[in-house]
Amino acid sequence: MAARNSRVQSSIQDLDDSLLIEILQRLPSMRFAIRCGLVCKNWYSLISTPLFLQSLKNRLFVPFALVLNFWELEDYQSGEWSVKRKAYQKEKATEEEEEEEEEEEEEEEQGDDDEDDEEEQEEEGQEEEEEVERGKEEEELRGGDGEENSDEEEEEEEDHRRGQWRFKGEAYWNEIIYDDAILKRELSLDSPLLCALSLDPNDEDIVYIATSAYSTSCVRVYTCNLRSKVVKLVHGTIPDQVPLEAAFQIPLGLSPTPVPRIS
Amino acid sequence: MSITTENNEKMITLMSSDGEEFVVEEAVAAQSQTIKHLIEDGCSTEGSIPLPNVTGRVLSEVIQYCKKHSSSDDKEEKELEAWDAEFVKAADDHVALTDLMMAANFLDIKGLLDLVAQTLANMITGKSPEEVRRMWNIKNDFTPEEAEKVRKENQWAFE
Repeated sequence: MAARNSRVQSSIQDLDDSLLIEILQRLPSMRFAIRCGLVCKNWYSLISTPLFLQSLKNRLFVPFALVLNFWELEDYQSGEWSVKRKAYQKEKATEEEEEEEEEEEEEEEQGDDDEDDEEEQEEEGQEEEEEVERGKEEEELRGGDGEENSDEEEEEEEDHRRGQWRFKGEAYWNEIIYDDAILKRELSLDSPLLCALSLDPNDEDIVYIATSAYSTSCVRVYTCNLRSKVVKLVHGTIPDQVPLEAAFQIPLGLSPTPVPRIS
Repeated sequence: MSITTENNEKMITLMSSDGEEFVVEEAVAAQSQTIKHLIEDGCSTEGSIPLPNVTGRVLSEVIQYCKKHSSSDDKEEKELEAWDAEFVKAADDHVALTDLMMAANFLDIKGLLDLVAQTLANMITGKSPEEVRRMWNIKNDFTPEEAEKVRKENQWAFE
């Protein structure tokens, strides 16, 4: 009652952490969010967790691009993708160790790993480029006859699952420059059907992403330039049945890479 | 207390923490999931619904938002977006946006929570940590050494 008419107002410091996170999640980029960590220790403690970084609202979910691989994006969005990947790597590294762990613990460690990935990013860039080239040559040798070579393909996927994951770059919703209204509409839906297909073998800033329109059951393929943030439509209507490589001159992953399972 | 108007719309009385009463249509009040559940549980039939966490000043803003959003349908999305932007700008003059955010959270009005959170995020965007601290009187509890450590640990973000 005493509060009536007195202009005692709250400040951002009076907000619960959960509400403060709601605000910080909406900052325009991960980079800027981390800079904001310097405001005070509480902000930093909220921002510097892997869970927070995964939850950024403006993030376009193509932070990882895999050569000749493609992942269902739903996995990124739920965060399961990262957790599974981490679990898989851990399983490989220490097969004898206990499998059952607190999920929180797992996620913290996963955060450490992400940092490592970023550090390694520079060093491995060159190697990756070579691999893309190799992939292209192999595809050309096969002459696009995908079916017969399914064994070889499985081997390649196996390689990627041995921990050759790399941080490629990231793009955020609000940084993206669209040239296509339909894409903008699709990407602004809560759960766009979106997946990263492949890197461009000739330009490693470019990631191919595919979206699937709800209404037409067609796949649309876009390039996203991770440096200039320009997203462009490359192919408008590829019916579901037509293999993607028929539409492109570059090798693309044909089937979703199996997600490592947590037992 | 439930009254029925001429067009058969059930009315609900909401009472703020400072005793102010607001009579609104049920559809308006039901924009708040919290109130909707209270109505479903039959709490609204005996007098007004007390909202101990929300002052009259803030509640009046919240109701404005709920009125607009209960009367608009999806087709008017563009117009509604523009209205939201104007609304939050005006609300900023009357109440602290953080109070509005807490009310939206307590009343469980997702659209309003999103709107206010994004507005506050926009206010931070582009500002230096020092400017953000000044804006909200936040005490810098980092020692210079600690701040330097944070910068070092996240060097890529500060480049």
